[in-house]
Amino acid sequence: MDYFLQQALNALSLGGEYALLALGLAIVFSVMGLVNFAHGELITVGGYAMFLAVLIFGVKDPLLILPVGVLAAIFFAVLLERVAFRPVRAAPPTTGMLMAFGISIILQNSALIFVGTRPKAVPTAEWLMLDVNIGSLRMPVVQLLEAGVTIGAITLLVVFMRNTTIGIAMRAAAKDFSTVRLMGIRADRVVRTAFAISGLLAGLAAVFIMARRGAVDPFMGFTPVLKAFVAAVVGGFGSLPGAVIGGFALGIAEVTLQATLPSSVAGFRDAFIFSAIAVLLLFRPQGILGERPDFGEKT
Amino acid sequence: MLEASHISVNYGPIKAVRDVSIDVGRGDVVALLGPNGAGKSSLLSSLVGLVPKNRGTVVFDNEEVSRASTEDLIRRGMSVTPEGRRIFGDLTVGENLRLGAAIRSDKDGIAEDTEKFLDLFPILRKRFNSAARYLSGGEQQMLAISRSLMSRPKLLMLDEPSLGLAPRIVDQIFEFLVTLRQWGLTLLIVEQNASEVLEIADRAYVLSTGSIVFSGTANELSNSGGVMELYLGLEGH
Repeated sequence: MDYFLQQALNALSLGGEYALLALGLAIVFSVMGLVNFAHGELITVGGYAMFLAVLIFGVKDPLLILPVGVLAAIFFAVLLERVAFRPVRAAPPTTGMLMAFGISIILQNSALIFVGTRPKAVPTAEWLMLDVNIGSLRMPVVQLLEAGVTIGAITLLVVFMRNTTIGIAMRAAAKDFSTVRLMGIRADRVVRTAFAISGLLAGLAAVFIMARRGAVDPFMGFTPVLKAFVAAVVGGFGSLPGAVIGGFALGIAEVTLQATLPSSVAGFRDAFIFSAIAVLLLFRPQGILGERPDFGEKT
Repeated sequence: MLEASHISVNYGPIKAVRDVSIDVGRGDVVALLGPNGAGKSSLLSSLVGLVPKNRGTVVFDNEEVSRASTEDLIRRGMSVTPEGRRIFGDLTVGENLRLGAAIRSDKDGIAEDTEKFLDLFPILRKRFNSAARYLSGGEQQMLAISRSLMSRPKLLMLDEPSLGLAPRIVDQIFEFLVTLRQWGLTLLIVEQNASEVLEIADRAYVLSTGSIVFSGTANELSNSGGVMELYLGLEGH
């Protein structure tokens, strides 16, 4: 039972990380049709910002360092939108995608040149590494926090999307951006808000990824965002609830296979998962909650 | 209220609107008529900044706004009920109305206006919290017009408000447009359905292949059999 709960928490925290990242991809895609392959670099930027913060402030104050990672990711997401994606917003979607690839390559190589190829250690605050004992259970603080923060962030996002005018406008823009503009709502503001939210979610994920890895390197954003991309596709690309479901489903699947596969085949965990996803997509190409593409006349 | 001069709109090599000038006075109800593909919707889209003008100037409420963005024009008091209604189907009726008032910040005024339209169209009150896509075509049109009025516009432009609706519903819509006129709103109505709109319009323009082929009072148009027959498929008086 304890073992099961332990694994459940593992699944929840890993799934949470994927969900946060997949939501960020989905929210940008839903309002502007952009698949932001530079999303992973937001994590890296958050990581390097924390590294810098440690250099400047020392390790003593994690409460100062963690927000630095989150704020850096938000700032950088908004900056990318302004300088890179806004000029190509009216261009065909492939242009935006190539732009995202280009940015990703430029940022990775900038980090290689200016910071170095070797991972930079960012000491994690000690209290994050502690375990708490609940009955006979030992739960790592970082995992409990990650699960809690993910659930909190998703709840806040739901409230935001339902109760604020800009949130409602973002939902409307996912289907019909030009009519949103006819309401006098500024397109720039809708898109900027989407990027800021994706930066916030990536920043939160970055803080926990950093806590687990303890170091930042130029390519650290790649794998998590690849997984998040898969999660978003499984959930139905562009659907926000789909991104959350896809993220948790992927986390649960990974942890379950990790815990149950015999060690001789455990190395093929991802192969099993991707095969299952391929089968799922054969029967439901639009993902779990996605809508079938409408090739007919649109109203 | 609105003076558009020498407007041209090209889509690549296609000249959708050629050197068109129209004038809508304060409190006027002006009809913009013409067959399918005459350039009516292109003209409207260019007036509200959704498609770029190749030439021409627009003066709205005594200010030159030829290069203003859609968002700015809405904030200055234009509003559009787009062709095909374009309600936000995934959003509730209430959320649709709320987005209509997005440029306002007077909470009490917004609540008051919302009540006003819910009183006028009780079905919208009944469906206030359900997704707008479940409304019928006519109900969606009432929501679309209400939504475009939530910004308290000075000029309301309606693109084919009768399109695809049953005659009984069309009558209801035009009755409501008469009410709007009594409220003092300025209306520019794009229509293919000339007979209904000429009953409520003061003046009319007829557009054909991108150019104005007639302009005058609604009466003059009704009495000019040639224009009516040639461009609008109706028998003149």
